[in-house]
Amino acid sequence: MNRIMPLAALPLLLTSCGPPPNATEDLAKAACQRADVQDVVSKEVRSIMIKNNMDHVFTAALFGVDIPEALAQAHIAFGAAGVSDSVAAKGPPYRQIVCSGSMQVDLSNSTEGQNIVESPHLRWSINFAKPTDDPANDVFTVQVDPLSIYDGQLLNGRPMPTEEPPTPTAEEQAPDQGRQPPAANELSEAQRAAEEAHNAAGEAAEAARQAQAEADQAQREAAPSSPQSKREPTDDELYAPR
Amino acid sequence: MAVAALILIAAAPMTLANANAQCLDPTVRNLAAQLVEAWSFSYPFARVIIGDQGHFGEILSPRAVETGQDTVVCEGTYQLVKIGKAGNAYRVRIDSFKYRWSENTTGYRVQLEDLPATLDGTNLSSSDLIARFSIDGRPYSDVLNENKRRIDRAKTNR
Repeated sequence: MNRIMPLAALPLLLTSCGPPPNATEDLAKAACQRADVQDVVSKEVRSIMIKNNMDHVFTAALFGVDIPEALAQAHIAFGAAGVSDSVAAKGPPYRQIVCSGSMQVDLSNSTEGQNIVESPHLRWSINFAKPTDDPANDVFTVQVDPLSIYDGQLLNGRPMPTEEPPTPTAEEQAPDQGRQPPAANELSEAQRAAEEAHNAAGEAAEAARQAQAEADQAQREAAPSSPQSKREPTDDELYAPR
Repeated sequence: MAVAALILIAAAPMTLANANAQCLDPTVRNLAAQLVEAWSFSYPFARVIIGDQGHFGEILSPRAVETGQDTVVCEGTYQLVKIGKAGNAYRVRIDSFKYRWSENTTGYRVQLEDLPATLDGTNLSSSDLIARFSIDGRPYSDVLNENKRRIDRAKTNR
């Protein structure tokens, strides 16, 4: 192999670099990567996760972990954060910059072992009170997109266990068929319901869900005098612990 | 002489340390958990309490209970934290369950040893199977009885 690089070619190589990088995108990206911004984002995410502690998916996946305490002590790390919005490409002055990146919350300890929760599509916006030309240094407030915390969330590299919500409408609408609602319907309903369940209004959603689950149970137990009560019990009613 | 000694070594049964190592191997345990998941779809009750979350289960305290030339039967506890449709989470356990590791020409395979794919042709009944399961520490048969009472109450409340 010929390893001799002709010296004459070197300057040519150096000067044939690509066009200079986009200055405005860099500025917005720098804002996304500010340490103080990410610090506030991590506090905000912690607070949202704690408020959503009633979320059974998260709690059950980390069975036995004291979530608020673990979150308070967790080490949070950000993967490469970048600008998420084409608004930033328009250039300064900036009123708002939307960023996205991946965030890891490390809840591991020696009793529970590895518990690393990763949100690969976290989104947050940096808001400036007045349009600024210096987003990398100006004072800011942060708003985290709460749904993005759970979007594609991973626990130790695997997707979080999915929660199948109660589907009372599917069951009651098919009294004679008795059993399986079509899988496709259940999946999209589960997806929609899962997204709703992960809403930032945490407790309100949880209260509603609990009320609905209890209403379902009361409905099944009360068994109104209608043809529906003559249907066969579902597999879930027969075999699942309540 | 040296050649004969080599053959002898090759034919020696697996040591207990090696056997336990196979049972403990995380990949092997992972495969065992996946096998339990697949198995669960053959029984309506298992599909509900394990089903497609089976691969999240863990094999606890695995140890070799039988060793052969190139096969090991391991015994451990299968444990899964299952999330039910009602949004509740419960711990499903099979306190003693066996899986087999065996070497073959292309590598190794893992099989379930004492969870039959079907009860036909065995002398097991479904209550035998059910007796092996516990939910949050209680026998699963208690849960089934509770469910049955709840369903009966609902029927008679008409």
